[in-house]
Amino acid sequence: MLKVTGLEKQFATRDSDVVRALDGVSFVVPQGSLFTLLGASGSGKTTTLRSVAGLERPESGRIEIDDVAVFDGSRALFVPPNKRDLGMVFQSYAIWPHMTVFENVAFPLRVKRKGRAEIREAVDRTLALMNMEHLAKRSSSLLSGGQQQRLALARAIVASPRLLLLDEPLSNLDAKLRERMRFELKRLQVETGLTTVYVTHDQMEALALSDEIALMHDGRIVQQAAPAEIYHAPASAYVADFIGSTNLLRGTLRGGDGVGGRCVVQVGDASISGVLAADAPTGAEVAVAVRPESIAMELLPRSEQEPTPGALHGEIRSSVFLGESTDFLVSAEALEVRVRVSGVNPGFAIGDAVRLRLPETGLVFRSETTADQAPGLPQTEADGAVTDTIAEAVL
Amino acid sequence: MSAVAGGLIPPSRSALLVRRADQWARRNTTTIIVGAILAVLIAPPIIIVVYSSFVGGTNVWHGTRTLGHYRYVFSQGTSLSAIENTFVFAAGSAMLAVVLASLVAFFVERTNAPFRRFVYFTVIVALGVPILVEAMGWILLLGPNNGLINSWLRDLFGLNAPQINVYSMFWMVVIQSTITFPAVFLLVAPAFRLADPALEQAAAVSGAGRLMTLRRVTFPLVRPSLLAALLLSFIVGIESFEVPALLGTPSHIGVLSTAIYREISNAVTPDFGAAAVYATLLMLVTIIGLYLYQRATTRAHRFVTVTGKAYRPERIRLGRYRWLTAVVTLLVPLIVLAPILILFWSSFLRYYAPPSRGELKFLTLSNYHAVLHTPEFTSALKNTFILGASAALLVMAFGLVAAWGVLRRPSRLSKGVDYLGSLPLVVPGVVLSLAVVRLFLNFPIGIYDTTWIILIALVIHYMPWGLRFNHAGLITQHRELEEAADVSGANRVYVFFRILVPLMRPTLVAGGLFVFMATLRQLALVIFLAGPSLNVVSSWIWAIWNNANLAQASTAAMIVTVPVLIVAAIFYKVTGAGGDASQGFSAR
Repeated sequence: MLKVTGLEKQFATRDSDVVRALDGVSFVVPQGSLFTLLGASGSGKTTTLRSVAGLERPESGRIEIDDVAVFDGSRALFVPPNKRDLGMVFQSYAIWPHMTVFENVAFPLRVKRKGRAEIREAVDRTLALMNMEHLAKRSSSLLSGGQQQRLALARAIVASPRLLLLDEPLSNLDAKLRERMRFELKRLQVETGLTTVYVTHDQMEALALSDEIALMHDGRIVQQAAPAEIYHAPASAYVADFIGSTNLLRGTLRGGDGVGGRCVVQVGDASISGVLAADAPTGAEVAVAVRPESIAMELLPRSEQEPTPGALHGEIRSSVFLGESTDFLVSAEALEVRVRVSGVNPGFAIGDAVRLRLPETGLVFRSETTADQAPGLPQTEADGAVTDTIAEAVL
Repeated sequence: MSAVAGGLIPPSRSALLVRRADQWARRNTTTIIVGAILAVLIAPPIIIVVYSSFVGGTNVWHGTRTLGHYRYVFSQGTSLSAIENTFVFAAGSAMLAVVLASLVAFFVERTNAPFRRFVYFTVIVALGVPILVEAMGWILLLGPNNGLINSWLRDLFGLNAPQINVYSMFWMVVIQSTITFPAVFLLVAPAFRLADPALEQAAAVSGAGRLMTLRRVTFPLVRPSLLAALLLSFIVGIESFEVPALLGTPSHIGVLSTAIYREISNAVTPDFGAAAVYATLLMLVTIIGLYLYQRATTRAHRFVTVTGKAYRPERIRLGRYRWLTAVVTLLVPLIVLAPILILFWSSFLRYYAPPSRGELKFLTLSNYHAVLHTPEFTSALKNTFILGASAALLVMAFGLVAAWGVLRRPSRLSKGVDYLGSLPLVVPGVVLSLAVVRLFLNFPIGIYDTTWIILIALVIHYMPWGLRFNHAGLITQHRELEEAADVSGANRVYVFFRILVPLMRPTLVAGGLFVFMATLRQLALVIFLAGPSLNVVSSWIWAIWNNANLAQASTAAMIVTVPVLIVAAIFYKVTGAGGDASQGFSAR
């Protein structure tokens, strides 16, 4: 079990400004579960993980592993990384090139002065678990990316550590391999039952693997929840935006039944129903979070120019073919709305006049929480590429 | 591990302070130790030599403070001309060397001129030869009476033929530039090679012709590198001892470095005060030069796009003029090698005579026999190798720990240690030699006139190189490789020897070989430290050359040059010829 309480850390930047890398980070990882720290680069997720490992020294706060403090700012307690009994997979894998595969895996056991036979047995068993027993004698500098990744994992778990730390372990793999390793990782974690902290910027990875996700932003945890909850009930516009791709439609709150209840939002000329996620007075600037796949789009007959209640009218500006689905960028009421239509042949073309029917379950947030973001602009790298493509197509 | 029970009672403020200090010390143990060693090693001699320029009497520990030495030095006409000569000599040789080197580098790197490999070969060979040996060779080539070139001139034009006077400022400048040439070449060649070819292609696409592109794009791009090379060879010229000592002394052309030598060795009673004044001046000039150099290199690095990508710039096809450029690519290397060839010849003659067919029958191995059976020489040879190997080992060990502190535990402390270790860069060899003598001459512990004193001088002198090599090597090692071992449970000593040292082995070997090789060539540094009872090869050659024993001097020179060349060959094999060469600049 890992318990992190109130971690604070500051970095001095070059212009002698101070950046709060960690701003009161607290969480608990129950025994045997997989906990993910998710966030964009610079959000503090890696700093948190490195603090848990003892590679980084926070200014204050407390870290306990199995109820024993390894760091406590108020008591100036700091246990160095080699005394914390951890396993860690680094982003670069950190495979020692001057050792064979076997020696790499054996290292944590040799440090602990285990007997020769015991080392042999443990290394063989771990390599077998990773399906790489045939590579034991190979020089580790001759491994492929996927093999290096599995070797790093083997080394991290061979000594049965109290805690397994994974720092973006899949980010250096190509897309195909990444997907396969995702399943592998999950299987391994379940089989070994190791308490695991996983750091990633990839929301899909986080959703697929985690028992619980903590989304970090500016050195703080902005939401901590199970994958399904964080996807379907994001706590803020930032979370909604970060997890999956989301349209944030700006408008004015026209009244409703309070937090958790129905409300109506005026977006341009149209009125949209939604669920109020955070308290806001009538007349407040709000944003409605709507996932592209939950918008229904249909062609608008020429005859029908009257506004449809609860729907938006617009024109298709561009489209991006994604294989199983197609993303359309629709301009409607001075908004840009992304709509995802599944199926190989959606039957829309650029320039078509369309009607967008929005779900009545869109979450409504106070708009100031998204002040720094343009509506509908997704934050993840993968989605960024899509928007860029759309933007280029528009130009 | 202490299980903290709940954390109910907060520890007292003083207990917290003690615990924090303890953790800081643990974190920085290695840096503290190395910093302390370097502080004891490096700072005292430098401080003492400056301080002693303000102290009267021979014993620096019991002198009176005075400005008399400065008054004396500046009242002497010779010292003012020494300052002037130093500048003329350094500036002249630097400019000539850079012009020659960039010309050759351009033809080698950017055209299909012939003999390109030969240039690299000679440059590497020349870098391994002691400067003293090269200067001796030049005297055999250009000496007024027996010099090979002068005797050729006499054969061609009769007795009234124009004669080259090697003992003149002009020829000192020329010879120094041939000695600086190899290092400058290795410094500027990458600038020509590494420039992004797209920049030139862009100019060509914009409609610029070949010459226009050269003038407006290629040369402006390498100009900062050339400036940096110019400044560095200027510093090398300022610090140079061998050429002014051998060629300037007979005709009384003094520079600062030889002025120091004159005050100590040639006077009836050594004038340490005046020598210290010269040394202080020399350091001041070096500091200014290095400061300008550092600024120039920062600018050069902005231009040279070192991305690790192997650029392959287009070579200019010279067409039918191709063989004409052999004048540059063949002649310049031959000039650089000429002094070694003539010494080679001389080492096989009992009585020196310029090379000719008639002399062939006098060739003999007797000099080698004699030299190798001279006990002073063999003990000097042994000393040289032991000292060189120990210095290389110590320098690389300190360098690794210090560089590790700078990169892995960045703090004001580790930065300070880095500066401290780089400080000897501003101390020319002769000055350091003087400084070490001055410090230990009246030192309570009697280590004067022992091998220890030379070892100390060598370690101080090459410390900056140990730092630079290790810094460059360590910066390419991902820190996660060490962190992975930390997390695996290994303590710092274990990580150091099982992870760091094996990973750094190529750097340690290359840097160690470089330092070893450089110590074998070193004369200026040991000039006041070696003596009749304690010789190294270079000081022994220096002594017998001054006794006019040309045959044995050139033989000894050959005997020491051969192992140096072998080490040089291994060094460039290890580093990849020319690849890392800018690091190995000024192998002195």
